[in-house]
Amino acid sequence: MSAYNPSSLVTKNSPGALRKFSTLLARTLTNKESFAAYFEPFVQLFNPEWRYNQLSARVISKRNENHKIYTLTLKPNRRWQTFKAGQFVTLSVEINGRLLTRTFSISSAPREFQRHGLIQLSICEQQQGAVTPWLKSELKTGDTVYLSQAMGEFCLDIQDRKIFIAGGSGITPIRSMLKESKDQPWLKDAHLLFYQDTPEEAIFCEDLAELKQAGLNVHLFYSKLDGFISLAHLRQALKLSETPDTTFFQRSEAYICGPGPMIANTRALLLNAGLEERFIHFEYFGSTPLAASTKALQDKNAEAFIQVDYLSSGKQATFSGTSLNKSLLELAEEQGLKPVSGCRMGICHQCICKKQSGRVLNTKTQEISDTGPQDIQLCLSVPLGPVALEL
Amino acid sequence: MQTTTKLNNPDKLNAFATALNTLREETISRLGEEDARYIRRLILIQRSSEIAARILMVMGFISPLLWVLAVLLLGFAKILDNMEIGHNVMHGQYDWMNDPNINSKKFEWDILGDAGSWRRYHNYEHHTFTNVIGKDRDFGYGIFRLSDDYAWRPRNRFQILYYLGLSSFFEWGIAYHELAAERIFFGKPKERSELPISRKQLRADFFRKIRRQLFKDYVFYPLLCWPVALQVLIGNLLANLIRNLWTSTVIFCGHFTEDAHTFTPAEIENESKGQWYYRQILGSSNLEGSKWFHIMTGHLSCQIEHHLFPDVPARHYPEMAKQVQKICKEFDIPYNTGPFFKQYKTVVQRILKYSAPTQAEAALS
Repeated sequence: MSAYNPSSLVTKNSPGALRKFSTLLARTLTNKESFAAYFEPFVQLFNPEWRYNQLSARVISKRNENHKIYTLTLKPNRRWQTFKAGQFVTLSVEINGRLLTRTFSISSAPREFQRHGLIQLSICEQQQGAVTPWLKSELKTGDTVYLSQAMGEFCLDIQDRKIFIAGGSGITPIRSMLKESKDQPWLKDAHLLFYQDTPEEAIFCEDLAELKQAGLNVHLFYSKLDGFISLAHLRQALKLSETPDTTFFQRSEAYICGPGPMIANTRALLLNAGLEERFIHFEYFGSTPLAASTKALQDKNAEAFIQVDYLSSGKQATFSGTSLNKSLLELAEEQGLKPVSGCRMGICHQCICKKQSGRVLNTKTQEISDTGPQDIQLCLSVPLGPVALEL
Repeated sequence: MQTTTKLNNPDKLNAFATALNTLREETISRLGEEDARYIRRLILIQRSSEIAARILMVMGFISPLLWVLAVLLLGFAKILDNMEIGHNVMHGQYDWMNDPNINSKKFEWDILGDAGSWRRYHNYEHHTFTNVIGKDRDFGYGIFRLSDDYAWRPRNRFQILYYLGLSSFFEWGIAYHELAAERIFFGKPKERSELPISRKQLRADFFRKIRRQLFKDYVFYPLLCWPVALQVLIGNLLANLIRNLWTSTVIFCGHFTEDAHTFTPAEIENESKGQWYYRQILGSSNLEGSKWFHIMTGHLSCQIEHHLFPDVPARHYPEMAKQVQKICKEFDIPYNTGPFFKQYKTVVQRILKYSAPTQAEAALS
């Protein structure tokens, strides 16, 4: 499995003596972390999109796959290294003065990047999202976006028989893996189970036809017609016998990508069928945006437990009951952490902390945050679901 | 002295708080690209001025006028950096942009005081306990007697001289402020310290920032321009002096004018949001002026609005001030504003007035 690991956002090169000296000099002379940071406004006079701490990419084209999913083709700048099939990047855009960041899997193959220097992100529009609808309607060919280096461990492993199971836009990292492996001998023995809502909304039909030609066993399911993934589907696709066939799974491994419940179901099915846990790779996909503030609070009360990850200290805690109405500051203090804090009423901004993921309610503005990385005031923030904090 | 009691009508206070909250929300909802462009443009102006000043400083041998211009320009750059950019960014006014260069946690400014230390005491102590006697050490900085809340001491007789001294070395005062509270060098260390970092770290940060600033202005640039080292050194010294005098003058006008109220710790017990707003207004005073006057003061000319809405981007304060004045009129709350020289005169008068003992104290001695 691959967990979103924020520490890998920063590429850590051990700085040489010269680099250290230049940083110290920049700090002393400009009070900024680097000369690049100090001179950024001047560079922006000529190149408004340039940012000293960001890797940029140009939008080459934008194409709708169906009414919800669209594909961006991007040309990352030269400092962007490369990626392994199945990895993801964070994409940042400035929307009305705010830099917003989201995570997307790369849906194209590394070999295409080697050849043309282009990558593709296939993105599912989240109706109430702040970023995905904007990208779809406002982003234009030739615009600049910012990318992180590729990261993630949802990549091809070594077992012989590979079973890919995708739900909706969860196909994106798997598309990358399969397109990369078009010439691999194992492809003829591999299976793809791809779940979509209806045949009308089917995406990547051409790619799948090509892969089928290359030998891949493609099984398409439509949840509106066939229902969600079941043992019957697995048996039908993999041609399994009625009795549990452990020999079949001994040489197999599975790659699952899709929404949370789908992953949970599929994992349980495969474990029951006899596949070992270590051969099940999976990646969560997408987030369900919450409707409105009141709805969010109702949902929250229904949910009995909320887990908070404290990334810097490596702690993890689960809260329930009345704790769910406490601020993240109080909760952190209950855990023995000592975040910097001050007025505890939202005016002094001492307790600002980077939230890596999860939704929080700001009790002062009644605003619900995005799911992505963002600075929040701990004293005002109440968690609405699992939250990961840099604390 | 102005004595105040709580506004005792809770309904009135709630309505008052709601009116101010609504104003805040309206302004926040309008934040966006224009604010981002504004702060980026100011940063560009500040850095261009600084670079131009450093270059012109060397040209002094061509004409002394160029040197004078350089000193003024460097002073201007430092004032912009400290006031409209640094002070406001560090209040978190631009954190919503998610730009690490314009972020309250990361910003460091061109002044002797360490940004981290300033953020800790200023944003919390001063903005939460504004003008509360014994809690807000910004009220008189532990040096001045500015109300009868403090007993007169013989040394208060000379406080106008202390004032001139503090104004000239204002950045040292800012640097030392938190260390004074923790009694790092003098006095008995506090028994219960709320300091979120170690005392050792506080000392280290203090010295590191001072070392860097002194090295930059008084060693590095003078040596870099060796044949004219002295004129560069003196120029930098004067630029820092200009900044110190200006910032101290503006800041003294914010809370020490004739009508700025003080409060006792008992008054703020169980304070509601409405009472807190009310106290912020009574304890602050505004200065009237042009757009660039506001920018040069970092919009601390709208001290009242800054204290009501410390994390709203300051360029909106002049607009908000009109609304706040209207709301204050409606609720019959005094609103202290006036032209710069008139307000400043009352500050000097206040310092002079309280350098003398009260009649009772005089009679005793």
